[in-house]
Amino acid sequence: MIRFSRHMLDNGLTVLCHTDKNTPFVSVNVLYKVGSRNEQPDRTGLAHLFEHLMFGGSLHIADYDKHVQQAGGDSNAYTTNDLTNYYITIPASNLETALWLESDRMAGLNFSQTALDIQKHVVIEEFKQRYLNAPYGDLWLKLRPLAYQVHPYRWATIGVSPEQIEQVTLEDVKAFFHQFYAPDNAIISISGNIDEQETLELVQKWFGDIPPSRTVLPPIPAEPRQTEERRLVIPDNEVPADAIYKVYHMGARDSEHFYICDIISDILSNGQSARLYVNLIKNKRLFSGIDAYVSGDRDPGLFIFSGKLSEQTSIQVAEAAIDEEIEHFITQAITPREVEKVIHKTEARISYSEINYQNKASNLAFFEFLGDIDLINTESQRYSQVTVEKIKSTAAELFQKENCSTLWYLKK
Amino acid sequence: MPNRNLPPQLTPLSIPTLLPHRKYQLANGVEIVYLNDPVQEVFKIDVLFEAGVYYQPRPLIASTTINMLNEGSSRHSAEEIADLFDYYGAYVDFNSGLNKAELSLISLNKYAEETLRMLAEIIQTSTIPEKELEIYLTNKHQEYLVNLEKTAYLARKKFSALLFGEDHPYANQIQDNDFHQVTAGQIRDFYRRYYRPENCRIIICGNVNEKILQLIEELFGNLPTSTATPETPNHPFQPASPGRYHLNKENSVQTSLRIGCPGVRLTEADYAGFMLLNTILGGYFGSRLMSNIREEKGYTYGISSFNVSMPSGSYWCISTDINDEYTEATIDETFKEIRKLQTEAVSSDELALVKNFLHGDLLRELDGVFAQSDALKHKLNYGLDNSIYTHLIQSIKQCTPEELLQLANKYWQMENMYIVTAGKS
Repeated sequence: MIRFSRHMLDNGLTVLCHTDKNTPFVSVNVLYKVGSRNEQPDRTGLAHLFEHLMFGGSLHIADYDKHVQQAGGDSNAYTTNDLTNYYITIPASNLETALWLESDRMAGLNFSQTALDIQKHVVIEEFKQRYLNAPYGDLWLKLRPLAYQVHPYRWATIGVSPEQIEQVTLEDVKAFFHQFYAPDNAIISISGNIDEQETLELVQKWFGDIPPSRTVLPPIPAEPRQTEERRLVIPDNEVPADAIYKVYHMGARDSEHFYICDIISDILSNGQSARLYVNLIKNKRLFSGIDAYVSGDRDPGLFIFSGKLSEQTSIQVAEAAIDEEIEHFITQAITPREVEKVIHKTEARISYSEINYQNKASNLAFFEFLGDIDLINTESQRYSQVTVEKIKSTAAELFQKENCSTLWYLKK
Repeated sequence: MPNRNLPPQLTPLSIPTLLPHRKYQLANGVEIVYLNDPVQEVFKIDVLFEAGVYYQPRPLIASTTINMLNEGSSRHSAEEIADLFDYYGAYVDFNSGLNKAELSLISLNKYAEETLRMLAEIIQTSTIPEKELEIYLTNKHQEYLVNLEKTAYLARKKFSALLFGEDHPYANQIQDNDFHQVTAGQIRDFYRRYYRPENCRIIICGNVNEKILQLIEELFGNLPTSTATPETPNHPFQPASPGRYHLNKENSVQTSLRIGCPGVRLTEADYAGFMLLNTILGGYFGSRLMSNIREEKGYTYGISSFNVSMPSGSYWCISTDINDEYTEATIDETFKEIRKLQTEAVSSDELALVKNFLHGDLLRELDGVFAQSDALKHKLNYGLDNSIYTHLIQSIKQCTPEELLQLANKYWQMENMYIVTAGKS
């Protein structure tokens, strides 16, 4: 059970606090409700590029990092399809420094053409390092536009191409800031060795006067229901083994559907005693690695099978083997032990994640972002409420051919 | 309205609060170390054997042995073993290091009995079945082939071969046919020789109650001594000539760069000072290399330098993946930054900042019982414990610009540097 308090400042900033006296540190987590799903199709990668610019100096602070480091702190950030999250861990006595820094860059940035040009180069090198110079690195760049035709999940957070990142202008960047970086589009979550009353006063002091943007965010186009099976073959890759991906559309992170699908994926592939590992890697030896997992996006996401083939396996045989596992899942019994195992695993996973106050801060912000902060304490119930009947009927509907996109990623 | 031009007052950083650890030996020689934090409902146990790559007679033996432990015991099949850990929501992990091989288990306290019994069983009665071994090696071979496609892997491997000598176990050079030459007999022999009580240290942390300690005593107190004796090989380093080396990978879109030389061991007097010096050059986000190569020039997504202390030796290294066009420029700029540290005193502002950052970073290494246990595990390899942190923080605080100049000249001799690039020719 995690005890927390939730407040909202007059300018719309949501403030979450959690006290953990087992650490001398505090974690300050600022989540902006903007990710690559909020980008325009001709300016993809902007949310992530913007995250880099947030470290380039703000209205009253030329060098953000310098102050974090002087205070003995450490900071970083990440961007996903749904959100951008900035975090600092800092000795608890220097909490106010973190709030000063975070509030100043929420109030306004020091935009410069030079800084933008350099960060574009940095991001393009990141693009190469992670997606182009790594084996299988570009796979998701090809898979996303196959699975999504309309919703902005059809591009990756890094963007569609280095060329689009190259084209971003200073005006794009400024407009993006004014639209999305404001207290009424943000959540601050503070966890660690704090006094909650004092912390709230400090948050009010530093964030209270930042004006809200009151922007009405443009709606995000929903992905229409898929009605036909989709397939894509990418030949001649510089990789030693073929890979296969099969993805199915599923529900959003906060829906009941998500919890059922997560259980399905656990029964199939969580751990070395799960079905896919035992049947396809150990017994049939068709794959060197295979996994089933859910994307857990805010908008309806994907149920993903990903497999790397053993040397002697043909791609057709590999796909037929996955199909057979799906067929078994729908038609044959799920044992009580399989269900208990998933419940135990979930319970343990939640316990482990509560050890660390940084996790607690980012989890609190994430559930608030989803619109139901109580999930921080009620998720395990959502899992245990799922019945075997629900699992079976959901699987039957989920794993329809016309709901599937299949990608063959073939070696040279 | 707050005055945003005025930074909040900083509080000086504290000295670390060290959790006490207990240490004792079981009758058969197994060493037990534990840190208890009764607030937790979880515990973690690391079982370490002096059975890392240093001791292996051929490539792949040490890592294969540790990874085969859960593939079948005298009483359970691989699937049953996995099923038990999965059923209780426990995680087991296997890791083969340079000198130590290590199993780790994280489990809820309420299932300690079940998970610990299975952990002890696989350590004591692993059978190394042929079929499982073959599957493991086939899949590892594929992983190896994927690695060969990565410029960063190629550069790293070449760098260790140069530094330690092609045939030294630390270089851990693996060839394609090594995967076909490993036999179950070799693995069983290594297992019998090196997984023995007098070679074993167990570190437990989290909620370590009486029940867990009793179980450990019962389960590991009868870890049998085997008649096969471990060999203590002597492998001196055989470093290659320093200089420039290139590995060709035609279809790559970036070049991986490694620059380095021998470093400083944890037990040496210069360790704290060198740690500070390295941090200034490339050890944190605001480092000189990051500021120059990433933030001013945009040649890379990241560049960092680090010092690695090992039980028998040490090395220091700069690592980055860069835009092909700027390989030479990056090497030039890197050496410029090193020369600057050898000739110009670090300003008091920069020095104060890096000292604070490093102090905070060391405190983070000790944040919570699980972190303190990891830190202790490492320090025990040198006959030290976490009280070294107090000393390190003190030494870092006292380090002067003059000392840093001396250290930069002492350890960063150009004629000792290896420069490795992997990428297009």
